[in-house]
Amino acid sequence: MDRNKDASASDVPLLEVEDLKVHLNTPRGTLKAVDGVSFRIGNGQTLGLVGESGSGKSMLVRSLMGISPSIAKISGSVKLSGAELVGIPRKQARAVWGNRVAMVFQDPMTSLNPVVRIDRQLTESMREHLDMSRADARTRAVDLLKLVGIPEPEKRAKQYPHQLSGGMRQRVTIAMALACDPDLLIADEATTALDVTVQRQILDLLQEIQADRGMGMILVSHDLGVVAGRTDEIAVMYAGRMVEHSPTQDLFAHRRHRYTEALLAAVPRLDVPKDQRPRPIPGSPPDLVTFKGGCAFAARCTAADDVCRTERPVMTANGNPRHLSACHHPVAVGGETEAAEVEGAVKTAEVEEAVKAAEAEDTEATDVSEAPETSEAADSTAEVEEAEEAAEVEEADAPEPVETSETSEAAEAGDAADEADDEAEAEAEDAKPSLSKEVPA
Amino acid sequence: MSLTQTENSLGLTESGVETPGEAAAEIKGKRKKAGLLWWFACAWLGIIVLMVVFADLLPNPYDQPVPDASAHESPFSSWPEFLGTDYLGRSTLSRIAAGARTSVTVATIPVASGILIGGLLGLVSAYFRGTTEAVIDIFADALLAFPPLLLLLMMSSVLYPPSVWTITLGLAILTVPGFYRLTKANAIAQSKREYVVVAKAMGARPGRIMFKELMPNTVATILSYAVIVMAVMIVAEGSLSFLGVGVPDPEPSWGGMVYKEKDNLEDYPGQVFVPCAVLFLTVFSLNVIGDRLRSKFDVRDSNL
Amino acid sequence: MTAETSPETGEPTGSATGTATAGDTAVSDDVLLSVNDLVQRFRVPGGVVNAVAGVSVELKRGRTLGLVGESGCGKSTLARAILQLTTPTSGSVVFDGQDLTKLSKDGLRTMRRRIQMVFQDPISALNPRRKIKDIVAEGLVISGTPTAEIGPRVADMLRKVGLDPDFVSERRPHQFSGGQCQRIAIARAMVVNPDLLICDEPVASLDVSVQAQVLDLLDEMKGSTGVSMIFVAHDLAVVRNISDEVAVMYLGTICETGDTAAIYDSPAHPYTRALLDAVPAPDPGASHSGPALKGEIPSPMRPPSGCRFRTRCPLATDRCAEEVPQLREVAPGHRVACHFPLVGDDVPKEAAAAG
Repeated sequence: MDRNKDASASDVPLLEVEDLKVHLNTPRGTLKAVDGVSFRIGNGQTLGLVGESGSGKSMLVRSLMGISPSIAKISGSVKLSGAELVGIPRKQARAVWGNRVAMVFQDPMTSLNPVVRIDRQLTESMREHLDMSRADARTRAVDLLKLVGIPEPEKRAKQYPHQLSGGMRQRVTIAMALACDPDLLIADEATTALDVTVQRQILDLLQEIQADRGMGMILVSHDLGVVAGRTDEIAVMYAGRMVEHSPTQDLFAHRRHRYTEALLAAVPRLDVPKDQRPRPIPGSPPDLVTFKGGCAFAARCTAADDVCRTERPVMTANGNPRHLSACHHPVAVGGETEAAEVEGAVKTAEVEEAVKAAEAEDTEATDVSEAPETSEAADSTAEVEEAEEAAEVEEADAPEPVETSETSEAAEAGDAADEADDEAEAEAEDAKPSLSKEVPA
Repeated sequence: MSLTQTENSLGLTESGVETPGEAAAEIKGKRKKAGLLWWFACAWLGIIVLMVVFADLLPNPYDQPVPDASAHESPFSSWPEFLGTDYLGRSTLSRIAAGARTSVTVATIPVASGILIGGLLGLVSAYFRGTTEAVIDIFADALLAFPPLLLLLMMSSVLYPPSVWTITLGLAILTVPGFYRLTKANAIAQSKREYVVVAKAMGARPGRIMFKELMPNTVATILSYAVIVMAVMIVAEGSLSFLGVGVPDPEPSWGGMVYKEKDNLEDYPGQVFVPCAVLFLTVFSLNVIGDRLRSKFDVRDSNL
Repeated sequence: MTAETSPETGEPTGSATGTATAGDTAVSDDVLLSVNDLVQRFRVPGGVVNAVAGVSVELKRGRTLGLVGESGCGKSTLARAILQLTTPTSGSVVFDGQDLTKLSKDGLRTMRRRIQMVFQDPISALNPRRKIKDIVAEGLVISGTPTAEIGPRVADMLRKVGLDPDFVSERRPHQFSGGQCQRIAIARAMVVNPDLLICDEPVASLDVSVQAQVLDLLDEMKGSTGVSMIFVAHDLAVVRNISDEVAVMYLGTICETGDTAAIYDSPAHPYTRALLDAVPAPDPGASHSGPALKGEIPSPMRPPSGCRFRTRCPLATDRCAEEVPQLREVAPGHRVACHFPLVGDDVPKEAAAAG
């Protein structure tokens, strides 16, 4: 896959998020909007971030942009080309946001100032960040409008946002986002409010621009259909945590998490017979303030049992080491039974190949496609700690889970490691219930 | 720069499910910090209400309790004249309390009639639009264009002798256009929302739409505006009385008390200071409460 | 009218079951709504907008019509014109034998109970300051239902849409999620037993996971009450499962109409084809089967001459600029307004030109 080629383009990943937590202090208690998320994006890679409203995906990308609400407490690490962004002075951070990272929002009308002409809106940030002269900035503004496919850019530049259609406005916001040549473009539900026809145009445009410029991109959407053909990797979020993270092809071919499965089944599609109706996901996501233990999806999951309700699953790789999921009863390919070994058996060859590939990549320690493994390690820092504690307390076969997290031999560790991990976690929880930061949310 | 700013405002209103509510919660938190001022305002208005209710227990504000003595008596020298007496020897405390009655009359009646008449016309105008709106607009604009002071002066000369009621009536007329416009603007904004369309599509009659759908959504704004208008009314009455065209002398009024004592400012500053302070605190309290009401309702709206 | 209203609960159910199996059964011959050459113009600064430019559609009892097109194609305007929320410029809307455009104000008011509407934005469609039970009861109160009946009927309907009446009754809309609000809006519409439910993009602002919930609920309602439905959407994938027939609109006119199967399996109009192609498939292997539609829908103030779609159509020729294509049958029940339909080419082009 061409992902590998892209991935090895640079030593330092474009964006490296580790154990990012965005906690909001509300009168009811701490709302864990994002609770320990890790991932990496290489230069020129596109990540699809998928989840329902309230899954924390918007909060996550907003914290990357430095526009989370002031009650948000952000911890963890966000590195842009190796430079840490969390905890640095706002003034420094501001030079990064809007300059190196840009964002396109769902509703173009809210990110455009209704009483300012298009060209002024475009030139303002250019002059701010790039120190351009007025004339240069104006020329560039028209160029950008042309680039994003706006007909008669000179004329449009003189107009006000309300004189444009929704699709045109979204193109303008993309032009604004591109004004300062960002390294990372975040599209937060950028096409959700648009017609399907215009949605396709805008997605094509984003893809094209991303490829031309070799930018990193995050496509945030609630619709797996939108991100399917346009991303290198997909991360599925639920209740503030990542539940599945995988290369796009692999996710659709061998999705593991029950939530991913449910999300996919809910998409209305034309490529299946009519009687295969979209299946709704019953219920709604848990309250992120009061939610305590277990798998957050358990209450809505058809496969949930007592283990799901009490133990929080960790991100593990069963099979493909770049394909991580956090599910006690992962979906088996073509079946509904508990899966890991079945899947393992079916795909032994493939898995081994993948493991070899992963090991090879592992030696070039900084390779970006290693992201999932690292992300697993970091995403489940808590789990690692728990596992370690469990190891100390129990002297059980805990080293294995630890190893699982550190190296990437999940496939070999297999089911046993998985179980051990779970046990270790459960025991760690029993042993140390007071570790509040480790209480799953 | 503009980019980050717009996005900032957006971050509070647009991000998924949890944020707006939390942003609201944050504002609530901030409001708690400002609680002291709010309680003070409430307490002060409570005192004013007590004065209005129990004014009759104090000596008659028209009497001169010590007719022979030199008219002015310093504050804190006797009870119940502990705020002193005025140039005619009348108890300042009694007159403040009686003046509170004047102020409350002048504040509430015009505002109430403004809400009633202006609000009703505003709803009618917002619902029917077109000619109805145009006609009502003409009257409202004409009234706004008329110099208020002139109107009040004319009224006090026409309805001679002037009394509390003259000025109340005058102010009532003046408040109507304000409430009319505010109600109309709010109701028009509401009437574009789909629930009003739904009600129409269900066959609801105009009256039902106006009172069940539009009115509940304008009441909050109108009430918070009303509190601030009350403050304006009290100031207006005070100013008019100070100019000598408001409530005529034997009738107690805070503005009138300042007016009568302004020449004795150097010798008896208390006689000017006390009604001034009362007036100030009352108006200030009303504004504090009005502000808080407004921000509370604003949050509620943004939370929807 | 009296003959029609009495069996409103019983009779349509029968026809619904009839139509659920096959579209061409004799039971469904009963036409509930017929829109004839409806024109809706709006005067705006700078000209006249032809939002709906001569549309005729027919809806049989118990059936669902999917009305699909991009924003600005006039589909929502058509829905509102059917409801008489705007006064149509010309044409007629015959509902159950009565022309709504000719009814008196009072006549229309009593008729309104029988046509209900569900909107796109559930939050804006619910009055933020009223309690859920009052919102749902609205239609019953307006139609003069005895007070004693209202409470139980509201509670019953709330249960039917999957909400616990004890929990929701006393709350206000902002305490609910978008999907729940849409359920409440559906409860409000269905509590008065309407004959026709018009849904204007009811799921467009919802998450996919919730979309399917709402679609299932509507389908359930259709099955249990036999209500006829007009389902407006911009996404063909969304209307596929719920519609019996689909009408595709472009710039104020219908460009293709037919049975759901015909439209999806063998679209005849290039625009329908493009709409189908635009639906994102949740499959990384499947690329879009056709090129993306270029440009945007033209302004309804200055529609292109001839075929309105020709400015974006990959197949457009000179003929398309000169001659307005009329709706004609390419297959039984499948009609298209195109000079060069993608199917049914056996229909001679001369015939189309003549007719």
